[in-house]
Amino acid sequence: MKLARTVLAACALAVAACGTVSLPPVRVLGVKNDEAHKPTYNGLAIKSGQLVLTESPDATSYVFVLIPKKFYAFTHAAVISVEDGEPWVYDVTGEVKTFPFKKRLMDNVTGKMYRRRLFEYVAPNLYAEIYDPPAGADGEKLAAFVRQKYAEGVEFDSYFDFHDHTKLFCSELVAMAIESAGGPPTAPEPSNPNPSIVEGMKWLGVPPGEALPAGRFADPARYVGALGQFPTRTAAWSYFEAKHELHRRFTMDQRMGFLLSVDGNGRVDVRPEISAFTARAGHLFDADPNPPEPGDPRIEAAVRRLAADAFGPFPADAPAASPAAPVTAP
Amino acid sequence: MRRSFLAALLLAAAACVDVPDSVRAQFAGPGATDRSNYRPGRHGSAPPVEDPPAPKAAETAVTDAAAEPASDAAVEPAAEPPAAADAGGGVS
Repeated sequence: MKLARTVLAACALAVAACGTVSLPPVRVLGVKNDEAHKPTYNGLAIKSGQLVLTESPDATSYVFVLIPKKFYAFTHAAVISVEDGEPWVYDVTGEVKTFPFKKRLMDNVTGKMYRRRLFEYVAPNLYAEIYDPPAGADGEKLAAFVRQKYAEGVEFDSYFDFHDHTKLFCSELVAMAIESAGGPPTAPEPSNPNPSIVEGMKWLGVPPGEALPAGRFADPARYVGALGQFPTRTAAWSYFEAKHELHRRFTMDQRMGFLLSVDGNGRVDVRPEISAFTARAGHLFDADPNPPEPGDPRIEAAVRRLAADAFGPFPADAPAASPAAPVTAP
Repeated sequence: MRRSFLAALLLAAAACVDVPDSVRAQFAGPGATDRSNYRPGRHGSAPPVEDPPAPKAAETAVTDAAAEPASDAAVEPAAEPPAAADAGGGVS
C-alpha cells in the first residue's frame, strides 16, 4: 500500500512537473496563398482533410530516418478537421511508459488517437508542414474518416503492422483515410537492408522488410504552409538535408552505434557529434541575404560541405567539396 | 516511506527492458578499426584546416594582457538545436 502511494506520489509529481514545462513559441514560417488557398487561420489556408507532417525533437527521429531504404523527412503524420471554424488535428501516437515493466521494448509503448488544436499539436515539435490531400481524395471524407476512428477509440499499433488494421500507427491511419476518401492507395516500401537496421527491427518486433514513413505524404506541389521552432523554412530544410546526409552515409557496412547509443532500458540517444552536425546545418544560411528556398540545390551542396568538414568526405575518395563544385539536385 | 521509495527504485531497476547482446553490439560506438562515415574530424581527404591569418606586426607589439590569440577569437560557440530538450513531440 505504501509502495502504491509512493508510486502515485511520484506520478503526481511527474504530472505537476509536466504542467510547468514551457514550449518554444510556434511561428508560421510560410504560407501558400492563391485563388485556391485563401487564408482562413493565422494566414494559413486551412481546410478539412489536409495533412500535417511533423518532425519530432526526440532522439527516435534519428532511428526513424534510417529505417526506410530511401530518405524521407518528417517523423509523424496527422489529419486536419475544421470544426466550427477551428482546425483540429487527429492522429494516433504512442509513448513509452514511465517505468518499462515489460522485457520486450515495444510492449512498453501504448497509445491511442488524439484530437488537438493545430497550434497545441505542433508546439512540442521542431517543425510542421501542411499539405493538401492527394488528387482524388475528398477532404471532407478524409476528415470524417479520422473523426470516426477517434470515436471508435482506435489504439496505437506499437508493432507497426500495416497489414492488420485493428490497431493503427500514424502513417497507416493517414493512408487508410486517403484511400477511403477516394485518393490513391499508399503501400509500404522497402526498409533499409543494412544488417544493423535488420537486427534492430527484429529486436523491436516490427515487420521486416517494409516501412511506411510519414514523409511519403509530403509533396511540394501540395504544400500549404509551415510552422515550427526554426526561424525559416530554409533552416528547417537544411536540418532535413543534414538528416538526408546521415542517411546517405549509412551504407551497408555502417551500424547504428556510429550515430546512436542505447541504455539499459532501450532508450536511444544521439551521439553528440551527430546532433551537433544537424544543429549546425540549421544555421548554414543564417547570414545569407538571399537564402535558398527548400529544394534549391545550394542546400544540399552546403550540407555536404559541412559533413565533409565534420566527418570527412563521402565517399572517402570523393574530391573535397567547394562552393564551386557541381551538385545534383535532390 | 524511504523503504517504499527504495523498493520502487529496485522494482524499476529489476524490470529493465531486455536488450540482447546482439542488439547492444549494433549500438556500440566505432572502434579504432571500424570504418565509420561519421567519425568526427577533418580526416581522410578532407581539405586541411586553413591556418589563421598571421597577426600584423603592430598587433603583436601590444602587450596588454587582454589581447587574445586571433585563432581563439574566431572559435564559434557550439550550435544548439532549436528545440528545448524537454519538448516531447509525438513520433509514430
